[in-house]
Amino acid sequence: MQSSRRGFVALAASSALASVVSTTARAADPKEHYGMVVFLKGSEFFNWAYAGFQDAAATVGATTELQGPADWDASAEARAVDQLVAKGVKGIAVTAGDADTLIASINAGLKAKVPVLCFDSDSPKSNRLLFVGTNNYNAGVAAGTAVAKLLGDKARIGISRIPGLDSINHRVAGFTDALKKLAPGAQIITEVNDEGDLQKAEPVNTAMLQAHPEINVIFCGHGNPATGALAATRNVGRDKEGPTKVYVVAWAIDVPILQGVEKGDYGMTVAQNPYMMGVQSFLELWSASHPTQFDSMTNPGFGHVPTADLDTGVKMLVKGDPAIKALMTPPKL
Amino acid sequence: MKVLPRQLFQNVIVVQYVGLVVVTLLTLFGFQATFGNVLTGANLEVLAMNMVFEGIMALGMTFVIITGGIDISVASVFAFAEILVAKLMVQAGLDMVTAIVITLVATAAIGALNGLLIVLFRVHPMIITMGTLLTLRGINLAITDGHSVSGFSDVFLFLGQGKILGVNVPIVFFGIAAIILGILLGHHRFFRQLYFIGGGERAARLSGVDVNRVKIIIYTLSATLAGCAGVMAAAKYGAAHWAHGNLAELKAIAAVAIGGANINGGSGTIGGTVLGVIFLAVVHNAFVTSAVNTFWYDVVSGMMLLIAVLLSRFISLRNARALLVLKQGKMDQLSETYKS
Repeated sequence: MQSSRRGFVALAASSALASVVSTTARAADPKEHYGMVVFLKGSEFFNWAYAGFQDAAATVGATTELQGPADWDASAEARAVDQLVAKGVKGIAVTAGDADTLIASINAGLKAKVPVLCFDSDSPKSNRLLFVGTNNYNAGVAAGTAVAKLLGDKARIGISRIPGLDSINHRVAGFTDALKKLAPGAQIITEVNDEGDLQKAEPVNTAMLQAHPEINVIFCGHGNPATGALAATRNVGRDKEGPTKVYVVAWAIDVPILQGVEKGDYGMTVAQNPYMMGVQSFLELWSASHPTQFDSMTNPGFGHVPTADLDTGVKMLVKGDPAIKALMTPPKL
Repeated sequence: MKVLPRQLFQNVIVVQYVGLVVVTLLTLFGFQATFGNVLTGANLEVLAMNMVFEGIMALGMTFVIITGGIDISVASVFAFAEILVAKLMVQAGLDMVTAIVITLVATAAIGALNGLLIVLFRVHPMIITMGTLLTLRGINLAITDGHSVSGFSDVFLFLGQGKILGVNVPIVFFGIAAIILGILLGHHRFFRQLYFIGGGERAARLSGVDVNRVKIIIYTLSATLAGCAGVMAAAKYGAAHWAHGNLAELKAIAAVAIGGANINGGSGTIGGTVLGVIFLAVVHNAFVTSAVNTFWYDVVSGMMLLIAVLLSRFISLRNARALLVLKQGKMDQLSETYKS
């Protein structure tokens, strides 16, 4: 009796789960289905990218889904790519949490004739069709140029970053090169590892400012540390306008950051264009999955896509920029 | 009617296993009927590979949990093994076999150290293994400077990407390890001691069980299995990275608990853990197949974990009550005998 009751409960639970899922999927009723794989799933940045992906798919009546881990684990991304390939999607756009870890899965997808491209963070050693995203070196140059204009040779910079990520390495290289060219007297004093965690960013940046009081700019190499870096400037009493102010250069378009730029808390922010990354990623995937009468020379069996990287560019947003208002309403999943 | 506690325990466990199998199969076939593409060879392969490394860690975790302990360091041991074997081959130029042996010895030593610290200082295993988790995570990051290590030989890649009789090597390893460890746990005297320790450490000591020795060996085994998973993961992904396997310890613990082990120790089986691993893999795959936001996967896994823990708590309370009834019955019988 008891076992049959348990069986009933199990059956009911399973049916409930299946019905919840089937309702959602019926609404989608796929014609052509495409996947996007990200790390830090749920972050505003990738929500923007996915919104662009979805909107572009809607223009041709295709459906989409977003997969990937809520953390930095690239192996979980690789598994997500494998799953989408097994599911038989028409194309996959993936941002590589680690360039090397994704190689096998991307190549396996292409071998199974599923077009795969990288956006935002590249996996250049893989056979991905192309890369759509910010040219990180150029974006770093834009940030370095803006800092050189703001403080010139007096700039003393601390960098908050995650070590090892290729995308951040390129940004820092561009930033450094621009400073060398435009403000040769400026100096990069030190770098700290914020581990990609905004809560860790505050103590490490506070410690950095205490150890190096000459620092007057914190350059955030990625999206997460800005709020922690700003809190650090408050902790050492150097957040107000004046000769001791530490300017925080953020690398994000999250609403709190944009509000902070408008209030003058942040010196500026490097605004990438994730929405355009999503739009362009979808359009390239769609093109790749629709071969024309002439086969692609570079990717036989697929439709025509460029092989060169597609740079979606950045804009340095400062207080009063009208683009800030447009970015204040981020999409939701 | 009086039921012996052992029989009662076995009955409830069987019902729990059957329930888990039924829910897993219903999910699998329900999603196949609704969405298709579930019971294809390609999807089943992906489904199995999705949880195989956590599954290997869960095998070791089963032993640890049966003794009443916990090992949350396995995920960082996993990443450490990935990085160490990669560095030994790619940067130190060692041959594959030597690199793997050194890596497994190193991970075994980490496990032995965990066990030693737990028995020497009588500190809760959660604290000791958390210390190891954080220390190793820092070491992993420091020795790689955040970079991944890649550039392995094809022979090494076979360990993660190759197939034996059409089955992926890590799945073959998981299956063989589960069978061997399941038989040992069910029939070997040494492994039967784990249940005594988990049921009551003091009583086990008084019965002559060398609790300290057993614990050190079990934590060594757990870390070594995590090391094996790490080596194969490096081969599967073709790269070693400090962030790989993040939160894998929680999935391994969840698989063991969902598989019917009492999280307070004293019960659990390898078969149950395998069922728990399969359940988690099927549910995750169902979410991807149906394109439902995978954030809900954690909700379902968490709820199943809570149900499993509550169920095992219910079982242990019922067993304790049945034992009391049995004792009372024996005492009544004795007093009746004296009276007559």
